[in-house]
Amino acid sequence: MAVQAVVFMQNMPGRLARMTGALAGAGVNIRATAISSSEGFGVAKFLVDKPEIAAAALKDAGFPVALKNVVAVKMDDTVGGLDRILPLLQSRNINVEDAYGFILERGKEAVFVFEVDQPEDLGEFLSRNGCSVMSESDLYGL
Amino acid sequence: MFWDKEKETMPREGLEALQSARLRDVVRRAAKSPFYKKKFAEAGVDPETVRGLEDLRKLPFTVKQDLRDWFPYGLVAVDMKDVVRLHASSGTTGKSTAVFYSRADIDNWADMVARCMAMTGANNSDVFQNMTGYGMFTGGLGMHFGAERLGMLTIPMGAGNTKWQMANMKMYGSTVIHITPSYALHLCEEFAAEGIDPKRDLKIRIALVGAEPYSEGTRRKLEGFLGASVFNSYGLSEMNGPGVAFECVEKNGMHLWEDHYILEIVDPKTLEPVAEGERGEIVMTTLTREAMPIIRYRVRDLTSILPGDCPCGRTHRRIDRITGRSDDMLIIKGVNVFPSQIEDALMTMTEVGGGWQIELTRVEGADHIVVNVEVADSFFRGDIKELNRLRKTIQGAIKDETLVTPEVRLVEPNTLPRSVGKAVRVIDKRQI
Repeated sequence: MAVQAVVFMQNMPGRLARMTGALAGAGVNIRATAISSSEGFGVAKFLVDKPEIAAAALKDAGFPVALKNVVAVKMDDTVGGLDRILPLLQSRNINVEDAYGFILERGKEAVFVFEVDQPEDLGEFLSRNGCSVMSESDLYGL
Repeated sequence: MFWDKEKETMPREGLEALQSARLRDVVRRAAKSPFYKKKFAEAGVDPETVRGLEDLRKLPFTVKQDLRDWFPYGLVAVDMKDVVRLHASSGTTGKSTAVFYSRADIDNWADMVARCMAMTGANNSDVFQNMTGYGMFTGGLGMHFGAERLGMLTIPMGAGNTKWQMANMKMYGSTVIHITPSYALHLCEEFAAEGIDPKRDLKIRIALVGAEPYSEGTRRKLEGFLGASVFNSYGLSEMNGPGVAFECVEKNGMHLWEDHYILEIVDPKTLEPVAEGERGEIVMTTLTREAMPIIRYRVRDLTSILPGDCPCGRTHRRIDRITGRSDDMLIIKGVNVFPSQIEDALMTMTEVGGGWQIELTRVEGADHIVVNVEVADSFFRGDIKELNRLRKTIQGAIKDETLVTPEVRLVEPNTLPRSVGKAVRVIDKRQI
């Protein structure tokens, strides 16, 4: 299953720059990133080409890092693209813990990345239902 | 105004003779407790040979750790059927201390508090609004019993509930209040916000302010705003609670009731007495306490004895404002907190990485405590909800241990300062 690097940080200036510096130094290419913050701290998520190397580099830079399973779905960058996927999750009572999307080619292709509460067989389920679920190599090789 | 003029103005010679007689007695009574039986034996002191003040310095010191080690009943020197009340500090993991009172102890305590109140000019025509916490802390009930003893109409409000406090002040025409300095400052802001001018709209004439250290500047500010005379108070639960020492109308030091306590000021390092007027650590011996006598207790507050006689006529010596501690105890919102209690609470949690730090500030006149806690690498599994649960758990654990609710901030591992040996655990930015 595909993973992304999730990093704990204090909510203060310079923390993200330290992370991107560590990733650049380790030759890691960032595909997408998302940040959420809570009371005084934040969590940064990096979808990268080399997750294990990214995690090691971020740990070396002093951050607590976890690799978290994600499901990435390729979809049309058109009206209703995302609306073909989310009802499927609803039908299985799956809760989206976190998600973000990015466009691969404007008007053509986009990727939606989910963290869900029960990820184990979600990829297979979505594939069966006509979604284009990305393999690890697809995702890391973008 | 005197409550017990004979005792309060007793010539020093008579007062010291009374202390001698009472010391002889209290040492013999204390020896009935398991703790002092052992303590005296270890120190080679035979209680029967103690003659009076001249033998005081042969007696061993008692420290807070003794009270913890012998918690709960190890210092009780009377039959349990003669014990009628306890007050206790917070703490759930071996840091608790409890103090026990017989009927006579409660009676003596009320008497001392009545003396303190009368000394400020309060009398039985006053309406007394008690605005500090009731319950396990000594502040609320201690002042309550003293106020009733003096004959004031006593309103047992407790702390908080500011709008109701203000309403009561208006409805009942409260003339004397008992309050912590931080709450008093907050109250002033609330008055201003509600458009109440205490000088015009209320009848407060005396404010008894204590349980936390505060400066002359704070006193002047409170007096200016409330239009009331502010008196500084001193006490600690090990010595009953409030009412141990209090300011008279001269407001130059606090008279400590030497017919009930022996007062010593010692050098915290050598434990030898300092010269009169020099600063040192307070050491106190209870002279009249029955249920739990305490001999030569190292209070750890730093102060000095003011030299000379007080124009008010009282012969009991005056201690200066407390200027600090000779240990690391913090007073937060009037509650005694040791950094080690916070450490204990944190170290029961595997998620915590080792580094932690306390930051104390004052926000709107009230103490604010922030505990910064490093998150262990191994704990982080990438879930923000889990982190917020951890914050709540830490907050709850610290509250259970200290009764103070902190703001908990999670920080990255190895970011809090560590000095070689002893880490810098407390940053106190409060202006007193």
